[in-house]
Amino acid sequence: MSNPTVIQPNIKKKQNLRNITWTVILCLVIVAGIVAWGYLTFKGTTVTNLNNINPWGVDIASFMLFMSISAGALIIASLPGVMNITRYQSYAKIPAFIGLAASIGAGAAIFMHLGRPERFWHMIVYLRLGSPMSWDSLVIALLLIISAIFLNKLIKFDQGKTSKDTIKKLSYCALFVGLLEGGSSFTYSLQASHTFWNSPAQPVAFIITAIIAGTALLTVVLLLLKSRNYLTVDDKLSEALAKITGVSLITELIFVISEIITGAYPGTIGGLADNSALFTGAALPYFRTELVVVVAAIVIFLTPSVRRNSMMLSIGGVLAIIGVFLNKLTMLVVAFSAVNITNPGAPTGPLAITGSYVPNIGKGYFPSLVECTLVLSIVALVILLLLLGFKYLPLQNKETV
Amino acid sequence: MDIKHKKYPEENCLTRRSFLKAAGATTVAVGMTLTNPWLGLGSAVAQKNDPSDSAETLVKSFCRMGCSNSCFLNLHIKDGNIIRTSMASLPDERYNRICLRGLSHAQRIYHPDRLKYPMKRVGERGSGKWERISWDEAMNTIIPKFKKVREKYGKAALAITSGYGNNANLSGIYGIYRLQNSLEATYVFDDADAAGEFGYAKPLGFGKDYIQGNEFSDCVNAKTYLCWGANPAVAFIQAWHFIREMQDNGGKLIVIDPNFTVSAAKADQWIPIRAGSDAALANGMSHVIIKENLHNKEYLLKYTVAPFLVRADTKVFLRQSDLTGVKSSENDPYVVWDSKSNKADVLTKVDHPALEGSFTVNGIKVSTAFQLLKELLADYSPEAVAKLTDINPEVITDLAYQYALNTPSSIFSGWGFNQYDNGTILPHAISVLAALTGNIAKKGASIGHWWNYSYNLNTEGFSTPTGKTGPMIDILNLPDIMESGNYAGKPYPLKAMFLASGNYLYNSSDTNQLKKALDKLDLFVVADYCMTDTTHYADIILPAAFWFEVEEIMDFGTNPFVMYAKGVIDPLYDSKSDTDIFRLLAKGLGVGEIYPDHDSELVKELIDSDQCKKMGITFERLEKEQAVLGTPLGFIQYEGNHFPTKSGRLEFYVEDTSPRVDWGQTFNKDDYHLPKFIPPKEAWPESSAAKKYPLSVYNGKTNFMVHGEYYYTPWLREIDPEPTVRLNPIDAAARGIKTQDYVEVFNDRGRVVVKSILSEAIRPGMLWLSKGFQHWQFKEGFGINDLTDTYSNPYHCNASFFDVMVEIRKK
Amino acid sequence: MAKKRMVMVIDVKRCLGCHTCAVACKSGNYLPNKVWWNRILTVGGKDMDTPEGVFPNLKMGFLPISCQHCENPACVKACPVGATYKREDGVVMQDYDRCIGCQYCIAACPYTEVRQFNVSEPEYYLPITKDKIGASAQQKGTVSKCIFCFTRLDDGKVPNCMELCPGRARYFGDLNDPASEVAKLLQSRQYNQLLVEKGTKPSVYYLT
Repeated sequence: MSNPTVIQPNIKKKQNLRNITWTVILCLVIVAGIVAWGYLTFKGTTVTNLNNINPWGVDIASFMLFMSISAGALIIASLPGVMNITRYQSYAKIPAFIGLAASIGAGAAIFMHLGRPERFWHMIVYLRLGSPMSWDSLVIALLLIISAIFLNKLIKFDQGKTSKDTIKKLSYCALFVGLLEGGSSFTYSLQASHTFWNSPAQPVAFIITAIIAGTALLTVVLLLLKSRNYLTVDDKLSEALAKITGVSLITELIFVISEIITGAYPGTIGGLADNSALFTGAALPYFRTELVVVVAAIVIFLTPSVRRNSMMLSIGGVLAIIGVFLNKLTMLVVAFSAVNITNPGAPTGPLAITGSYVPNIGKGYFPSLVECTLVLSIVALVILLLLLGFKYLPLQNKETV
Repeated sequence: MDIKHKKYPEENCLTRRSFLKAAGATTVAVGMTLTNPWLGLGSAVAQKNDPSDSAETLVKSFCRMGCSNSCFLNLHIKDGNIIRTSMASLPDERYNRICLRGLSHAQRIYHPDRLKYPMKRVGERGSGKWERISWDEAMNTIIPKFKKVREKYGKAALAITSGYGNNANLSGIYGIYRLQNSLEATYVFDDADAAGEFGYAKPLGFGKDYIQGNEFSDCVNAKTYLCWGANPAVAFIQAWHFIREMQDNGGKLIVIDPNFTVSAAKADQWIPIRAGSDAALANGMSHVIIKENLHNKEYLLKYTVAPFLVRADTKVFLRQSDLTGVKSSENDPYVVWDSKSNKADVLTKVDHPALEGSFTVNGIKVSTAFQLLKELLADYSPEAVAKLTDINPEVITDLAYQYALNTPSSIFSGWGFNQYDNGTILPHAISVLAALTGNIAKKGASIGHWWNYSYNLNTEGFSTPTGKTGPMIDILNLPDIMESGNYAGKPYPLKAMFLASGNYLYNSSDTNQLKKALDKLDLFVVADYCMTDTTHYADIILPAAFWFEVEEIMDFGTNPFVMYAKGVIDPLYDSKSDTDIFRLLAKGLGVGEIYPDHDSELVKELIDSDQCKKMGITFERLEKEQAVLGTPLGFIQYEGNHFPTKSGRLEFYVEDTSPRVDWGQTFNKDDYHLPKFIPPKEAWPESSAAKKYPLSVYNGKTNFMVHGEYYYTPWLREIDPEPTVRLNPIDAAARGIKTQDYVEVFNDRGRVVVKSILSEAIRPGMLWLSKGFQHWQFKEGFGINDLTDTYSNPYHCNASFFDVMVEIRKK
Repeated sequence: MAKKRMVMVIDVKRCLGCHTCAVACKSGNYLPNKVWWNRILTVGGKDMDTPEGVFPNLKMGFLPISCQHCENPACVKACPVGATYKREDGVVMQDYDRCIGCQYCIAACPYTEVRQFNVSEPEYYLPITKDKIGASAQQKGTVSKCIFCFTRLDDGKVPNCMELCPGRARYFGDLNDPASEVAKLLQSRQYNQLLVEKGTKPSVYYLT
């Protein structure tokens, strides 16, 4: 590939300064997150906008996003090995590492959501295998472990310390674990309580969003690394990634449209309630933004002239990730807004609206400052992990080293 | 986000805290009180070891709130505290009863805002600035002042009075009467619900009591059951299941109400009626019954005044003396028209009196009472009544048929209609219906309601221990008396007042007028166990003990059992039982002898009645059983058609139309002999008030309050946190009001700001304003009685709480 | 002996919507502030105690709702740590000591708001009401719900909510006992169950 670039000392100095600034900012956000978590733990979920109608919010949505990223990244990382594309084998470290960082983010998100985080060990000693939540936890554990092992072996492979065969076997393994993200959807799809979730297509939809999130973040990371001369990315690779992302986004859009039609056409109470939440109710702001973001990302990824502009492609990647996050958040907000029993009565819980007979139903959900801080801090944590990884782990391509 | 449990005005809270410091409480106690005010009830509570250590014991007592259901309770005692209350079984399980309020007493007893010690006002009246004083200081202020007032202005210048806060006998209204009568002090009658009672008492007789109906459990025998101006599904939840059993037995429940109440929702038929037009509907039914010849002529002739001859000139019944010219002294017999011999003769001598007809006797023009009734009812054809009541004429005719033919039928009338200025007419018109059909004084046939005001007890002797009695005035007249210093044409200086178990400023008409009146008092002393709109306006507050802290006897409401309980815990803080407060006052004012040392003696005095002897109620039994039957179950009022009227008959023609209270007012007494419909004063489309203010407003009773009680009970406030106004979406849309808006309800007299709820249950043109909240719980304004009028109907002299027109606008 | 199946039967025709059972539950189980295991919903308009229809053609009813103690409980299947489980007699239990507060059961339960999350350290208006049932067991960050007052059942009593219903609308007993009042009622009267289409087989029956 291209020759190694000689980095000018003054540029390097400038880059170092920028790195330090970013690290400080990210650390501050993480510290803010820890403070927010402490506050949450001390005060209880009264400081969130969650309640008995909306038990899950941006915390679970960000958990789902990081799961998607992790699984998607791992799937991409497995492809050179599985499909024997030796040319890109060396690149696999980057998505494998993204998968590792994102799985840590996902773990942090679910941990922060627990009402009794100190009882996390109950998940080990009392684990009930019948619960889809348990499957979800096993998937996240596998993502963490496999991406770590895979990354380790990929690095060793670059150093010539691992056989191609091992990489190939591990690639299959990584692909399998990545595809298990589809099983993660059972947490939602197996609940008859919410018609919006209760669909056999959910596993496929989850794998699609995983691929979107994984490829989109990979694209953004690669473009950034390229701009910093960390490694080189050939146009074919970014083209291929962009096409995968674009097509997956279209598939996701088809799913969304299909969900709406399926909800509307038979005229069932549940389906209509879901659609009403989407179009007029609590989920509208998220859903509207999701549509705009996804369509914009599709245009960017699938218009050759646009996607060749690195800046535009990066923006497209970020939009696609936001799109996945909103897709997950919409999934929660719609399901929890379309309540089964809508009759009014005395309100319960922290958001019991005082001065009102009207319960929490139909009030929608907007995250509180504490919740936003927590989510941002997890995003910051993942970015920091990535920064540290690229600085201290041998993740550059063989050719560029 | 914490439940917005509104506190009293801040000053009061500050006083409470400063008291703790002043009282030399340890820093620990102060800190504890500040972090969790509920712990203020006594260090014993929080500092006990593991609370589950000691066992829970059950002690029986009873609920005394103004709802009349009088529930028998279990108090769950642990470590000397009442930790909760539950239902206690009565000897007849059908009478087992408790409600959400009765279940939350512990929250009242230990509420941090309970009045804990005597306080005197240090700011303006109503400014909420208080200072703690000792009982000695309180009494040393009150007694000399009361004495001075009595000496200077006469005994009636001191008012010793109460409201509806406690239905038990020692602390409640009879306890107050005992003190008031002995001191010959003034009692200020809190005019409410008098119109309906008075309206029934005229035709049915005052008798010993105001009860008109059969004992509640008898309603299961009815075939047609009309709930008229009543919402028993909310107001009488404990008696409701009897009505439901009547429905199960095939009886038909018909609810006549302007609004779609819970009772209406549960009824077989709901007849939405224009508010205040009820008497017209009853007359319309009577019209149909007579026109269709459905009336029971035998009953009319035998048990009512139908054949009595009424003089055209004096409007009274023709008597023997009118025939003979000789005025007989005592029993001047009634005269009827002998239809056989075609001449007038005394009742006892005539076998076939004429039911109808006008005659001339001794040159006096007379008509039978029935004839006059028929003439009056001629104006009330279903078509004419339809215009007044907004009910389809066919519905009116059908209702009359059902009432007259699907028998026995009962009419349960509540208190809704008697909150209008014409409230006394419907009971009279209902009495006519009963007279026409004979649906009274038998199983399943009754009118009015059964509501026991301690009739089984010796309340008369108890209230007048020295034989002396004090005068009674009406609160509606109070503003005028205080302003002019005159009552009934004579000087009436009222200078000081002691009020217990009452909340005048919440419960009485026109708060602003009443405040002005109270402002003229030299000393206003209020005893209560929590801050209310009225204690807030007092000069001196005396902390009363709560119900379960005192010995009591009660015989009240829709519960036929006489109940007795000892004080279960000691009076909390520095409070004293009402009886002890009365004792102090009696002693200080020179009638200490009316209070024996032990309250048990007072209980024994109360059960010294014929009825108690008949029912075998002894003090020993009360001590042991705590609930003993006082009224026989299935009791039929007027059984055998004996009416406690002058004639002993059902006097649907009212001979004596003198007013309930005579203060020299003038009005056309001839309007009230028969139930001639008179529209309400304000809440009527053609009234002058309606021209300016298009909506009528009424107080909405909920399960979360009883009058002004329970306003601070946190559990109930979780369900029903703040005052609301309910209005029809049509009226809301016309004013741009949506559900959950803050709206201002106003008229010339005052205004309140509350939250709106749109409800189709409310008749267009009406507003439902929730009852019970105290002034600091309103966003703006003092309370629902900011809007009402002190106008007193000259005949029945009653507050017309619903006869109010207002406008509403978005805030 | 056949296995018991404890069920509750509520005659909605008799229910007045008075909230007595709601407060009885709150009082008897010493529930913390703002937690209502048993609530009275209005079947009618959009706000509590409002009817449906247009004046004067109106309809209004009430629906007391609490945990339905399903025969096929979605919550039990959802709980990853077995903190919610079913007793032999069909009572669906909640183990506050084991609950990790993931709230998956709240998401899984189709019956809106019958499961409630103790958002913060349970607060009581009246701290003296703490007792071995409910109060001391209530914990911050865990889910709680109606437990059919199982300690009372074990003492041979009925649940708090039905100790006295002013409208006499509630019945409780073993459906597997053909002589029980509940079994007879369900044989003789028409009834509804809530959200049967969700497959949960609820144990609360509403007589219509």
